[in-house]
Amino acid sequence: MPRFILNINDIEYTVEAPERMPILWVLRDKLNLTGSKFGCGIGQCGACTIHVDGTPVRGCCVPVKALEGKVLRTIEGVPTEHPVKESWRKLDVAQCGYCQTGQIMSAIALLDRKPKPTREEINRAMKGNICRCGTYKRIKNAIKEASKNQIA
Amino acid sequence: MKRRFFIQTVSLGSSGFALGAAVPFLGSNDSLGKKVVFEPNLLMSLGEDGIVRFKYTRHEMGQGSFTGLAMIFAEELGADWEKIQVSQADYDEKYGNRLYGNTGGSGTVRRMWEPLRELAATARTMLISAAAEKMNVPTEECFANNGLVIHKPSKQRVPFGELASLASHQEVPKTVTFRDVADYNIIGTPKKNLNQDKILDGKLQYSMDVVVDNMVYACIVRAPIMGLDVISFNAEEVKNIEGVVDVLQVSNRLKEVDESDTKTSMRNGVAVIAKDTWTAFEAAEKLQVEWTDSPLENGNMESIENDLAMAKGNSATYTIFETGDVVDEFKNTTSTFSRTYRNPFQAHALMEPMCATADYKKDRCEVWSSTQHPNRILQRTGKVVDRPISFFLLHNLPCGGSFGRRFYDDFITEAVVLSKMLKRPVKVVWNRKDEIATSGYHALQEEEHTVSLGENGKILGWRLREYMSAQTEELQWAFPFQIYYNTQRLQEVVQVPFRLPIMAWRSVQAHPHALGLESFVDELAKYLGKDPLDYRLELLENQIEFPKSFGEKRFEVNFNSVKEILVPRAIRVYKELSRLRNQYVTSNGENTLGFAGHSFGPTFAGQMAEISLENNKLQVHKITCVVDCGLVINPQLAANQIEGSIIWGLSALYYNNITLKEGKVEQQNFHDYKVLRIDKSPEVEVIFLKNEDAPSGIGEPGVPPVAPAILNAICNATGKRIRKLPIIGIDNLELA
Ligand code: FES
Ligand code: FES
Repeated sequence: MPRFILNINDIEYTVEAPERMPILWVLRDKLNLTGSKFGCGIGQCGACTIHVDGTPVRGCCVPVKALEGKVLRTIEGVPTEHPVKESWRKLDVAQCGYCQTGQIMSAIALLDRKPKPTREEINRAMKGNICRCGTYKRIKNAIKEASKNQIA
Repeated sequence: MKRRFFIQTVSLGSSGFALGAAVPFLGSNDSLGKKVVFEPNLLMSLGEDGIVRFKYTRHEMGQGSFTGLAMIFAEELGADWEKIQVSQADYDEKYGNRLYGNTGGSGTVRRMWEPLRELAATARTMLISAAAEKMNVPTEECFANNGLVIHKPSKQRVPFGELASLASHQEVPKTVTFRDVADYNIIGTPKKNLNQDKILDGKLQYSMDVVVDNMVYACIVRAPIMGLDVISFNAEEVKNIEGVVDVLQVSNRLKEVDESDTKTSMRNGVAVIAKDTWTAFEAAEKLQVEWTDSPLENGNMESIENDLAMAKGNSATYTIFETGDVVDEFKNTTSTFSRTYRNPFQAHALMEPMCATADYKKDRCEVWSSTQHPNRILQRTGKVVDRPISFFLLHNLPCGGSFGRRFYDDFITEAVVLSKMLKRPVKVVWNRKDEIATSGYHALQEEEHTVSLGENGKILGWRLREYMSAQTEELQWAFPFQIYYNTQRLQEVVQVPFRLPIMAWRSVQAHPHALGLESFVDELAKYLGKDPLDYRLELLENQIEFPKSFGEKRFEVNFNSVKEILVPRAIRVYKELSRLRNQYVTSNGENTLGFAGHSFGPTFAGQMAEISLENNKLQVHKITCVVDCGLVINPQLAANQIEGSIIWGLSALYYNNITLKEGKVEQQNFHDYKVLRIDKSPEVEVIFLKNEDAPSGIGEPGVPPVAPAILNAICNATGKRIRKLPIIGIDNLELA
């Protein structure tokens, strides 16, 4: 089985995996980094969102082979005190919480790109993340809150 | 408002419950090896460190009762909220049904309200007598608050931790007095979801995240139609795929060993066992299974339409209730008004697909999964492998949404059966398409309301015929209370032979029921030239009689509580909505409003929808929900539940539609089974009416009014009445 060297959350991992295996399953089943979730497997729900070189991607759709030499960040690599997590905490966004790690990764990527996003920009960036518990109102508010609080 | 709990004293002996569960255990050790000196009941222990460890004996699925139950307990104990540690209890029959019954029907807080307070008050009483002994003062002069026992006259205070040892030697009281609601300082305050921090760091462990030594992963290709069996499959070809461990046929034995309901139990299928989830998923795609022939009629939507149309002429299968002689009224009047409303099959599409891990050994089977009904699931799974409930150790983990789905045993039985076959731990993971296409569903159902009208539009008789499958009837435990009893009523069921498995789904029967009733009342008001909101109040305030008898007495409905609790709540909610409407019309006015309300259990929720509709493009701007649910334990998490329910209701209104072709579900994933996304989510405001009655449930009541409120608004805006869900696509309607 092929071997890959991956840079995840500033740690170098060596894993053996089929080259077509999506990074989501490498993270979850091989590295026990289970914060990234499985929801659909076809890029529809966003539960598996991680950052690759700072860009949000759906981990269920990107094969591990494509990620060598890239910088990966998962929810486990985002500090607890990160302003986005803080605002999520303050607004008590999560219900079941299953979609929230993906939501947070999408929100961070948005705010990194657009520190003061408009309503439309929030909708566009977050549209790929489904929340069946229906926390959308609080997600929107938490993004606005984080946008206010982040260090410029 | 009446103060119901003002110095309420209960005798513990009568139920035999609190005493039984309140035997103090001395000097046991908890899992950390820390000395626990006061363990007055099955749910709580107090260490010398002053930490109150509380066990949560229900299932947390995002509804927040993990936090809510701890708040109730801490409040009644007089504890310091910062010193409460909550953990999930593994399922154990020792808790009994009262403490570890099912989690559903928005009933966790409602059903735990009394037992938790009895247990906590017992513990508090013992702590107070310990403190009195220590301070050498009379017990009556002491009270507990914020983790301290305080001697009122001298203001001396002792922290709980210092009392732990002494408290365990106190006599268990025979009666306890509950704290006065006026003294509450935890209940009614916004407390953070206790799982929030773990969730944000990706550290909350769900069933999907379970790892057990030596475990393998299973993906099952299930019978596309319930009841089909496997004839053959290409085992060898799939076994040769790298990473595949085995390919095994799994059969539902439940029918052989138990006559009871198998419609929601495990399907027959073929399991691909692999070294990781993805390999199991991929290999399952390569599996070719030949199935036995479909025994189904009703395999497609046309035949369902035909059956529904035929049923219209049938007489009722049974009567739910009848007051007076409604049928005679129909014979005698010339003027009737009748409308029919349709709810489609809908899937749960919970965010975390089902998952269960089992480790079946000779003397015990350990299970890691998430279930709303551990007792039922273990009992039914036990029958399949011929073992009693006590054979299982179930770790009931929080889940990524359930909405009724995890009431059922199929996914847990699968893991247990496979682990037994393979003699090693097995994790069964459902793919999304398994969850959408081979599950159980919210029922397709029609509600036909007919009234006979006399002079001045007076209703002389009101008949509701419900067209549903036999299995849907079983969900009538969630029988939605009817609240309009200002005339003679008849409610009857006509069975239609749908065979798709039916399961509980957030708000269950209240959803189709509200769609019918609350659209109909609106239509009727308009037909009579009345304002729909005022008309509801007119009906509610002029009740003439409540049913005394019940057709065939299939259901327990306490009409007294309808009269005493529900109708007054409905009136309060509609009055508040009227006030909001007046305020809205004066301050705003360009959007169109629609109203609807419904009960779920003793909770009543009413909604005001603000929409605009131009060139067939619908925009729902805001939904305001007014709720009367008795005492609100945690306003923050309760509001979350209503907000989420509204989003759930919108998905059901706009998109959710499971259709059949040759007996099989046609939808597979979120691309063809759409749910609401953030860009279409409206503004939501939640208003709780102040009420100090016992708390009555919050997880589901927000769902039922959504569809009728918006449909009523659409009719107000365009004159067009839609009577069928989902609505997107009907008459070219789109979302703006
Ligand atoms: S699991 Fe990747 S988008 Fe749904
Ligand atoms: S919080 Fe449950 S799915 Fe989003």
